[in-house]
Amino acid sequence: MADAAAPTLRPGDEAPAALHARCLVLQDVTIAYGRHVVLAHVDADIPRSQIVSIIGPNGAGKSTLLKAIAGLIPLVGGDIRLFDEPIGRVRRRVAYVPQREDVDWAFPVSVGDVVMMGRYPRRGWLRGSTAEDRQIVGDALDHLGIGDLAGRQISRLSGGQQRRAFIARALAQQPDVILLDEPMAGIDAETHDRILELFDEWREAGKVVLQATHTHIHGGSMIVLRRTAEPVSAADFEHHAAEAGEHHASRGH
Amino acid sequence: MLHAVTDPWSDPAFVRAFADIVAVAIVAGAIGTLIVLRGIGFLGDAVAHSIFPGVVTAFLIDVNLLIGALVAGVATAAIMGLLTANARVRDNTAIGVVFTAAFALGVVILSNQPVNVDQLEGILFGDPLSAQPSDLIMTMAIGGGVLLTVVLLRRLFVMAAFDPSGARAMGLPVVALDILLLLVTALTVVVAFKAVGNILVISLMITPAATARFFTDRLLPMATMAALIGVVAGVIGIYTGYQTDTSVGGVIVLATTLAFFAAWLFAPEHGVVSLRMAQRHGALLRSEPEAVAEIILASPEIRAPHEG
Repeated sequence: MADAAAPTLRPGDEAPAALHARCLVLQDVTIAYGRHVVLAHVDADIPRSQIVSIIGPNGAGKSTLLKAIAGLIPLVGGDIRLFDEPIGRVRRRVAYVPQREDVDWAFPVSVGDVVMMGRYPRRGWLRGSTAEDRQIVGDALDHLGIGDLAGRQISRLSGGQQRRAFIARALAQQPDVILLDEPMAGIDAETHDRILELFDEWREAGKVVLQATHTHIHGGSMIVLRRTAEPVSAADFEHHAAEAGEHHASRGH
Repeated sequence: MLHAVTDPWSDPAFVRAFADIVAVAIVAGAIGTLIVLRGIGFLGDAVAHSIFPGVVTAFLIDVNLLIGALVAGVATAAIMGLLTANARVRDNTAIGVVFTAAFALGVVILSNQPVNVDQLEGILFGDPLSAQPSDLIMTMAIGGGVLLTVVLLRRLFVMAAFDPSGARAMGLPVVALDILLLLVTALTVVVAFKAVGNILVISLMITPAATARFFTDRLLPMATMAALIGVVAGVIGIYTGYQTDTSVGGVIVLATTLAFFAAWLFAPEHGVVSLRMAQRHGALLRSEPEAVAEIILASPEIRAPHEG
């Protein structure tokens, strides 16, 4: 497990050192819910300019790993550093788009309000919004193609529009790291395509992007997780290796 | 008839009670909105009940009851906050254990003491007409502080309630905010204590907010409406209590509950009956709403009805 995954930049290439340098580093990370250890001794040095898919069966700890990076679950061991600082100290540089189930969609709040939430950590928790904040929020909404929905209540949007609103919030946060938990689950084709376009933009902008997912993104890299108690069948491993093979990413076993 | 409305105003006790209840209803409406949205009504209830032993102790050692309530309220809010912050947020079992225990403690403290029934009733169900000027000052001071806190931090409370994990990922101290919310809940309970008493207080917080939720999808209208419902119920309660010597707190709670059920049935958009009526009488068809979807294409196997 120690070198379970080393995402790379292009098929067959190691990422240039510059992209790795002081980026997102997980060292000997162990995560537990109460006494139940979910992930043990995870090491990964994740470079910029990559769309990293965290793949694995249900219960393998995909969301858990994302949540640990997002600071939602305390680590039992190891540490996570971003740009050479403990990640807890640079929270505002990390945007997290939660799974659909984690949000109260009946909540009385407008789309514009939701996206404005992304500005809070930037401008200080108690400060009012500035013209610049409103500009950034407007741009983020337009960028996701939901500029006309700013005044709409979040409860009145379709699933795909809700997802876009949350990704707009992540944009408004102007992060360096973007964590998405199942971003493609239950959305329409148009939103799906829009997210793929955003992935390209983020890659070009040098962002660190991790998504928990069931579907590997073409041209991206991947981290494959498995349940320790359930050995991966040879067929499954071959399947993953074939997917990852285009860039020799998996050195799992 | 007019006398029934105007006469009480010459009685300072009535005026004090009136001011007390209006202030309480406004604060309770604001806090209740946050509690309902955060989904911690039961937790608020627990905090309210747990104030009982503090009040009883204050009563026995002859200190102002509000001070006893204050000490107990802050202590319980802190305990509840820490308990629920530990992994299993909103663990209703733990909450049930703690607040029943606190209530039992109050009963035990009280059991060997000679207590007059009227005073006990005041503790449990409120007695606004006996409010002293000092009570009123304390209500205004604490209530004002609570309201100010909530108004200043409203965006953060809303964010934590709407998407707790997203908020925490951004670095918002969600657990601290939850404890703070319990704390202002405890303070609101203390403030509302004289008006509706220990047992009934929570319904002045939660019922108006839950009622308002039927009518609006927006936060500020919801809080405003919750406060208004509380004020109206308060006014009904105080007049009834003054004229007929009925329990003011009891009438207030019944009035808010009536409003809740009326809203559940008849609220224009979300009421059960209104929905039925709109569907049954074809009002939805006649109003020709902007259609959300229609069939534009179908496979040949899917035929229109009545087609050969």
